[in-house]
Amino acid sequence: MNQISFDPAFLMGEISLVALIVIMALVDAFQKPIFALMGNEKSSKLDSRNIQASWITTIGLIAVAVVYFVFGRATSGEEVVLMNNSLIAGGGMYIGKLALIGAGILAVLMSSRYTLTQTTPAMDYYLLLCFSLLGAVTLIAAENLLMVFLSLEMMSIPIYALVGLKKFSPRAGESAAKYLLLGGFSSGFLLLGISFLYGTTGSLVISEVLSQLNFVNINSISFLSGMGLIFLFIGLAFKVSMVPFHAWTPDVYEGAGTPVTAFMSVGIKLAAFAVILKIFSCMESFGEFDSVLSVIFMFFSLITVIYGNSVALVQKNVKRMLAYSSIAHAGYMGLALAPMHHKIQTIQSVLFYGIGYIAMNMLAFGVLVYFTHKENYCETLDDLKGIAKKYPGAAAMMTIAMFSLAGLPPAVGFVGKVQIFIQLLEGKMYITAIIALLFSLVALYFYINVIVVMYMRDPEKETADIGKQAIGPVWISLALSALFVLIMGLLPSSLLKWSLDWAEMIF
Amino acid sequence: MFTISVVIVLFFLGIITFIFRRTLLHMLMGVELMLNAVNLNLIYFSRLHQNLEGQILSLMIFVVAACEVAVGIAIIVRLFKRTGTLGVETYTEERG
Repeated sequence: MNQISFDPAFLMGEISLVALIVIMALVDAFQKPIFALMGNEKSSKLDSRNIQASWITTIGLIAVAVVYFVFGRATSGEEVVLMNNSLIAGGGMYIGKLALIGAGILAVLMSSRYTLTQTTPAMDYYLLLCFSLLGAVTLIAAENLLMVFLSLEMMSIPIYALVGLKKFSPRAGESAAKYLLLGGFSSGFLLLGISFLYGTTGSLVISEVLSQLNFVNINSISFLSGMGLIFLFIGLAFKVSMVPFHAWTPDVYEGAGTPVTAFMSVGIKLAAFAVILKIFSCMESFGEFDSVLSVIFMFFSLITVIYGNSVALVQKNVKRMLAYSSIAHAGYMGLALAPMHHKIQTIQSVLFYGIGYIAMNMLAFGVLVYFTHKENYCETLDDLKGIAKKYPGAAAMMTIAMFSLAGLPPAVGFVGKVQIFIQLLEGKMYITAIIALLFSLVALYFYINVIVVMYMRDPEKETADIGKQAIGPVWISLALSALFVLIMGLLPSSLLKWSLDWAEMIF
Repeated sequence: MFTISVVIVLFFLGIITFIFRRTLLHMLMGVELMLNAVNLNLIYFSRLHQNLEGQILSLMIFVVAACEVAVGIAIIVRLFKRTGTLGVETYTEERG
């Protein structure tokens, strides 16, 4: 028998996250009647209930993050595999989980302003966000292909619902349907890949599968497992929106509520990339098949970078522009895998880029949430025209985000890009590196364009007053992510060490 | 190899349904067909290798597919109420 009992300290973070979800569900059920009983008429109104919900969620998630930090530090000495080879825990794993919980906290802080523009109770929204977060933290710890599938779906299905939750928007339903159908389609490919790998190796545990794969002599077995690996990659490439599996990205990002888009573009991307790294960039070499995978990664990542950056050039809508930019960033992260030289530095560079990308993208979307109010969702470049005069602080935040996304110093995006290019140069892929570099110069145009529009254009109409409701939490989230972007851009050594710790768990 | 051929045929039938039947419900059915083809594959391999992991995964796929359909039908019903149609060509709010 496998060991059933284990030290709960390794899973304390997940346990507390589940406890938070249960508490939130109970609060959701009893919030209104309790305030009505207490005769507190003001607190039973929808808006103040929504603000309470956002505070409960924020404080709860901060508590969960503290639990992750304390127990993660306490258990970082050893690495264990829990629950019949399903999850790995201990070591540097808590860093990845903290990064995802941090993305969740930033998204919730933004949502407290955003949900005021909706007429639905906000607690449903936060519950779905926390479920998705639970899926993401188990996905990066998954050691078993069954667990990979389950947590990938646990992460995605709440997001399908979240995309559809946006009220007053004809686009939200369409985006949700598109995301759901293409998400299901991609899970089909993922599962076909898993079933082929299971068929050729007889196991679902990732380390066993990888050690049994044999590409030395080409026969039908190795053909089947090679197809399995490729289908698995296709299923995951849908989630990180690599070209040609990107078709849903711009529409869904544009149709969803801005905080949901922010979470989706960073959390899901980082978690899915952790799985790609775990399977394709591990210690085990694929032998002959390495060159095939190398070509696949180079080709898909390169066209992702080229397509994302060139189509983003012509966008008038900032959210859509950020969606194409997020496609391009997935391409940069994929490029690091192209040399396939099975070194821990590859994983480290991608994780560094992913964590930095959380902060900078949250910052960019946070500014859009800042200008969201009942009449205006603030999505187009026209909405941002000349805002620097009236709101210099928010414009400065957007400037930092755009510098970081473009990969200019002194922001974290610069260090991340340098890491990626070092990987390419070590793998002697000079032409690929030059093309990727050229297209990051192309990208400069549309990132700088946002700054130009904010500072140098006059607003077409008088800038509407954006209102003061729940502006504080948005400021906190903006300040936190801006600080992270700048500090990690100037002193990247600690983030490099953290991503190395996490990479050791994946390697 | 016979079972794998059947699985591949079923899977591609699912893909073809997804691509060529341009109504939301048919597309959802296409996805279900793909998932069930994988289930068949897993059960066959589970018997081949004489262990239970594949069958457990196929049970999990049933559960997840049910969840996906529950969310999917809710979204589709909402969309149908607003637009009065299920044909994807008529949804033109978004253009890439």
